[in-house]
Amino acid sequence: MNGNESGKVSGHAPANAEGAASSDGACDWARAQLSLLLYGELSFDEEEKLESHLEACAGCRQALDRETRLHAAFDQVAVEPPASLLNQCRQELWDKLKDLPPPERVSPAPAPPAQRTMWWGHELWDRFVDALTLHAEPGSAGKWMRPVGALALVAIGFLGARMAPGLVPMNPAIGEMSLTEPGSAHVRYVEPGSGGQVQIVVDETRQRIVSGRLDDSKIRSLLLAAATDPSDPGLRTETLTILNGAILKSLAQADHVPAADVRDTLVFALRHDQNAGVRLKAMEGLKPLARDPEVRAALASALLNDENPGVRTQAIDALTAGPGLSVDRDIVGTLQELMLHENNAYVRDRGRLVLESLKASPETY
Amino acid sequence: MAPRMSVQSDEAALIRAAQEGDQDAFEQLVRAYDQSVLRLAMNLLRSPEDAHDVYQEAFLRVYRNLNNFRFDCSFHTWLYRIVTNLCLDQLRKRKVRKEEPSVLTTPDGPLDRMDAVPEERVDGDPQRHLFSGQVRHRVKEVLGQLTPRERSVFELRHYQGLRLRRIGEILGTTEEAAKNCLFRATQKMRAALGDFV
Repeated sequence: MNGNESGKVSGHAPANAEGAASSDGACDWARAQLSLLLYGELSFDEEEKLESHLEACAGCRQALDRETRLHAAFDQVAVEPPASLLNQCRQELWDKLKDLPPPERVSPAPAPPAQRTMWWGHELWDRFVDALTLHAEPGSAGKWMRPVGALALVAIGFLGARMAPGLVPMNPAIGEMSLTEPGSAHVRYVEPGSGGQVQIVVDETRQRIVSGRLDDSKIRSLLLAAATDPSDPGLRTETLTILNGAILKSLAQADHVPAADVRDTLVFALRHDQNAGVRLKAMEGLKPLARDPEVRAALASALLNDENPGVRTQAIDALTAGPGLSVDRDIVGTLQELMLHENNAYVRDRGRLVLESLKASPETY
Repeated sequence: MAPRMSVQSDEAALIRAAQEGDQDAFEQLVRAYDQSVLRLAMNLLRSPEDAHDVYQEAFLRVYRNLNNFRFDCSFHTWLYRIVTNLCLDQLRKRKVRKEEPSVLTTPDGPLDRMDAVPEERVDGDPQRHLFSGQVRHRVKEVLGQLTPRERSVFELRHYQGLRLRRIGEILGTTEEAAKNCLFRATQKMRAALGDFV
């Protein structure tokens, strides 16, 4: 998305009273963008412009506060499917699949388009490469094509770098960029790639794409910064998905312990993230680590204090139903404490069932 | 909560195995995504029964059409496209029938069928509890008034945390159209909830 693409949205007038009262076009524009700001869907330039305006305009800062409260109100009606419904759905699906014939066998899907597929088509490119490399017959034009081709490649490279600097693969240069310094870069988007790679779109003065593996310290720093980016819950969720994958991968390697910084990031998200979806995503990554005392403490805290019933429900599962978990006296005490003040019928029910299965009283005496 | 594929290559291998008729691979794919699918359907349709039906139909369609999946987009996008289309059909049918099964009118006042599933916890202050209940009721009411398309975009962005770019891919439209849809949805919500926030 770039600044020009948002013209249609920018043209709308805000619907709230403050917006209607404002005769200032800059304020109208700013208030129309507030929701997109909270969703992290503004371009770098739009965000800069809006933040500059907010710094100078108390009315729009108030409008932003209202918008934040509005988003919090939306969160109140989010529902998490009960585990029983999920289990029922799965069981019925497995039963139905038994009666279905297997999908027809297919020839392997085509490989993703190769990078060399360009607008001038394969043929010309192939002939060009052939001339440069292997297939030139002795005495044919290929002999003199080689130096010409090499010169052409240098020229293409030079022009390409001048015209499209943002498209240059960045990995070798990561070490030279101050990507992780606060204020100099902002992670806009993350995406898992193939072969353990991740792709990160970074806003600097322009967006550019860097890619590398999680064990690359710069990539890792970017991801850990993105996991706590206050402006964009979507980005945080996607980042945690990648970190969760890294945890599963390290657990699958017998002698490998998940990195402490990844674990700490997930614990921090579970304890402090404002967005329930992000906290749930952090919980997903922490579940396999539920034997770790620090993780256990964070899960217990979520169980007793998280405002979202979905998170509290998942915390019960994480503390009591994970592989190789033993439920100790502390967990029983935590569940009993939950039963003292839990208002949500579903969460209470889950807590009671777990306590009953442990032959523990749902009450404390 | 089932883990999502750690890397796309693992997922691609699973899809290829499932295309070859490997049921275990298909089950792994289902388990990787089905909680998100059910959550999406529950939040969009606000009816556990309808969410259950969408879940079944979506994964059966995926199974039957798996050989048509050609890796032109991510599996997640393809699956969500199927799920949102099913939900949109359901929402449109409701609009035609002018029914919104989320909130039922009873002699004792409005009753939300989703109250059987998790609700927001509030502290012991009864006034705050009442206010919070009013906000929830109003938000649900306004969600029911959004067009199916606005509701889908809002759900995918706010509750599923997907980027507008991805939402555009799922709904077969542009990022810009999804952005305008989200804008209209939040504008309606803002107008309707103005007194509460």
